[in-house]
Amino acid sequence: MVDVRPEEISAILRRQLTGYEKEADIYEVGTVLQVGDGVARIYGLSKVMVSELVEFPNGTLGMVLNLEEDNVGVMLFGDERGVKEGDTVRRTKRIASVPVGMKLLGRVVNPLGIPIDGNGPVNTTKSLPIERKAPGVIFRQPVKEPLQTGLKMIDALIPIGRGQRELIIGDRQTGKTAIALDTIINQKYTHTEEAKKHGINPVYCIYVAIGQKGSTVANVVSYLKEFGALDYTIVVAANASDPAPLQFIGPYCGCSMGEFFRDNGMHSLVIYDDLSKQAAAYRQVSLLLRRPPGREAYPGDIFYLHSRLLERAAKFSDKEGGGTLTALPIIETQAGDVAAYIPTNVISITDGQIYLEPNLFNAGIRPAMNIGISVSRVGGNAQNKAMKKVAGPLKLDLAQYRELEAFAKFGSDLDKATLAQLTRGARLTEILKQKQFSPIPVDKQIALMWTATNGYLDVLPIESLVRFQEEYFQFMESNYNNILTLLIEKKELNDEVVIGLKKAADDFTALFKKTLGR
Amino acid sequence: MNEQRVSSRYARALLEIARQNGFTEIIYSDLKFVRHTIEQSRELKILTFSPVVQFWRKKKIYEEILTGKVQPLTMNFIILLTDKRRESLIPDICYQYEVQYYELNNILPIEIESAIELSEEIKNKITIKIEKNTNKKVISDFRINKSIKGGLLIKIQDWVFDASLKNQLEILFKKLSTD
Repeated sequence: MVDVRPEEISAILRRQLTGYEKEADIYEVGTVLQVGDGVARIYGLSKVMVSELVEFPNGTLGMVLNLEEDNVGVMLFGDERGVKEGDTVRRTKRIASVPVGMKLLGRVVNPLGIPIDGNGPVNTTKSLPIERKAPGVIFRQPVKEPLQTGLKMIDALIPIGRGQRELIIGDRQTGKTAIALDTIINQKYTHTEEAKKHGINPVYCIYVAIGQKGSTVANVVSYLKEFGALDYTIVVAANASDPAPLQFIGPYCGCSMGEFFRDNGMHSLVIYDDLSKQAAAYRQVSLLLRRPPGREAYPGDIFYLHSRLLERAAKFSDKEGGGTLTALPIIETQAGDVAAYIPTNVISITDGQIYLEPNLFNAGIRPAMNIGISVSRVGGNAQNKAMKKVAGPLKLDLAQYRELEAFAKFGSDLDKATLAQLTRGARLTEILKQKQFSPIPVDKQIALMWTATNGYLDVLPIESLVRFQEEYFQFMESNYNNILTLLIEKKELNDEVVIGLKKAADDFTALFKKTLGR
Repeated sequence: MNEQRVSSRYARALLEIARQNGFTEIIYSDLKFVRHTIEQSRELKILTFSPVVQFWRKKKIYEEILTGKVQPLTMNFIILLTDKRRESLIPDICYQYEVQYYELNNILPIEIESAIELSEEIKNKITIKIEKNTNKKVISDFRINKSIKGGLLIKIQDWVFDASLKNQLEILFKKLSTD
């Protein structure tokens, strides 16, 4: 056996370890005066910057929030146990930042970018500060590309554009997260070769879970995995058990991760689920730092908290690469109270809202969207022409239906025109219902809406419409695929398409009626 | 050393009066003595911070302990603080006075920790080197701290100049254990 001489080993060791022995280390320190409830007050650290990270002896990091006359207020990102009065706190001279990049896709991380899915470290090379300035006016251009959610009700009536901020608001258990998840799952199409051929750019998704149960987040991740959506998604989770400071910075971290895509000419979608919990976390930290409470005990800068976050959603000008960051903030209301402080704030910041109601949800209308008060202020420009054309009469019919709905109870006593309106409205409402996790491509949506608004469904019983829809899509795929392709390519309802759709609808309804009697 | 807002103001006022009369240095040593006395005696410390003991009783106790040992100005100042029920701030005010006194006289207090007792020659060398670099008169406080294992640890206000063996070992540990 060949022996390795001990001198050789120590020579190698020495070589490997050189460079570690520094002459001296210079750093700045402060002393912990007080610690508790996730915040600490530090004496010293006279040169520290706001939002700089400081390190406690047990390795926990903290972020400087308050600079006061005689102390520094710090919120702790980790365990406060082990931090005691008189401990030495070190400056790190780093502003709080998160790793960004493509390598994060498919991962579940905490707001500091540390993976929590047990799949090893994330080897990113870049990081961005969590608090970044929103792009200015000259860097932007109006929203013009659609972000397809795959939900008929939203894509047709309240279209969302890439770079828009659309609020999803509603009580608990009304399907807010379901809409967000469906939207993520529907982006799968944008990552295919086919989409590339049609000039649709991929959308990378970031799902920020704030103050949710660990089990709920695990559920979301498993759904995303099941539908193959995790490959282009980053999940940022600040669970209910995490310290309030982490829950507070979660959305900013998710936004920075999304900004990486936006700044590099790519497209991203960030979902903040939900901002009411973030506001509560921020309220906690603020009150502990003794900032004066305002309405509902929220601090004075709670509006700015959300406005500066949502301003970072943008559509960049072509000169800047044309990247986008779409934001879908979620707000949970208490017993439908949209006039509460946080909901009104966020409603006024965003470019529209999707309003979900428990009554509709219980009546079986899912997504439980109240079409009357949901709006999208900029998405219309982004909607494709064909969809715009079919959505026009759809909106009109539904509006008239809502007005007449009260009379529906009188049944046969109504005149013919009213009856026709009611029939149409009931069918449109039925056709807009959609199951969770079943996004529908936009071409099929248009084809279906076209048949509905042109009266093909009026003669069919409402109960048969679910089956109608399914079989109609199959029929279109196998017999009129060219029409669907035309819709994707041309994005408008020209004569060729209309004739095709009419023929398809005639053929299919004739076939379908025959199956009804059985 | 926790309170600053109130104590720095009292200290500034005292320093102002002392400056007018030209004995800032005597007051400085007086206050250092007061702080030392309070810190040394557990009973006096408890008394100073106790909200239960009446202020006039405290006043009598302070008078008895300090009369003759400190300047009349210092004595009056302590009495004034007790009258104003600020006696719990005495150590803080003493500390703030020291800070402001140092600032006034361009003095830099530093703390130097080493694992073993340093020779006078090395102590002088260190002090002179720091004086040269900071352009300030340095008052060094040499301490022995076995936990740093070797080398030096120099604390200048918020700055730490860490050339200790302990810190180097920690850095080595961090480098070896991560990535």
